[in-house]
Amino acid sequence: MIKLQPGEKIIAKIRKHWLMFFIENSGIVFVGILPLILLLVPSSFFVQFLPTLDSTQIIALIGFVAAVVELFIFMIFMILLTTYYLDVVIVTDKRILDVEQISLFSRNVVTMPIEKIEDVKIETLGLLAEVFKFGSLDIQTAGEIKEVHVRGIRYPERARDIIMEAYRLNKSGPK
Amino acid sequence: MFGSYPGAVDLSVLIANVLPAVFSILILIFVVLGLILAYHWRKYAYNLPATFLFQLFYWAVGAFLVAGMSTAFIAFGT
Repeated sequence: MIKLQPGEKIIAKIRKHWLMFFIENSGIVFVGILPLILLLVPSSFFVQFLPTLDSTQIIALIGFVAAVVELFIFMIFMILLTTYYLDVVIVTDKRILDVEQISLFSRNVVTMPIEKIEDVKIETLGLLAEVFKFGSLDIQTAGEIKEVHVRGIRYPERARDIIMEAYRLNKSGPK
Repeated sequence: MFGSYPGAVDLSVLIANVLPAVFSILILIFVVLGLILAYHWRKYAYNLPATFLFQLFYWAVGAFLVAGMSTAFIAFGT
């Protein structure tokens, strides 16, 4: 867990757009539909492969296989959803934390003091990005701190304004 | 294929033996994953309402699928 410094306040949490999650993981949604198609196949089709089972058992078996596959896909979906949600840029009044959730057990956290920010760049490319209001965010800093680059964040203009406001408040605040 | 020739594998017997193992392992994975995800959300999400909603969704949908799986499992056995 990221510990805040004494007196530090979280100003905003910037996440990727939900559409990015959907685009990146649309395959799993498609695979989730496949077991439902299996349920539409008449049980008489399976009798030739399982001659010792009666039709009730075949229907139960198809239902079981469909439920197993759906549960498995559901669990993968929830892991992906967790990875998506925990991938966040946290803006506080003192620093910016870029938490890059690579997988469930791997994350990369970049911390940059807010006073070190030199440039905040946003980029909105394409019709889809324009309509759904998402884009990329680049934060460059002075010194050797790794720059932050986040793709597909929602409302990039708003994110830039929040960061610049936090920077301004930090500069004008008590030393 | 799985015909009635001597030495052929009776697929229905094979399935009947495999189902309980699949059922048990999947429920175990479901519960363990639920606990792992709950831990991650509580520790890193910084959002209690979202954490609650996520867990509610996970256990509700998961329970529905497990119930479907259990019903099919029982129906297959009886």
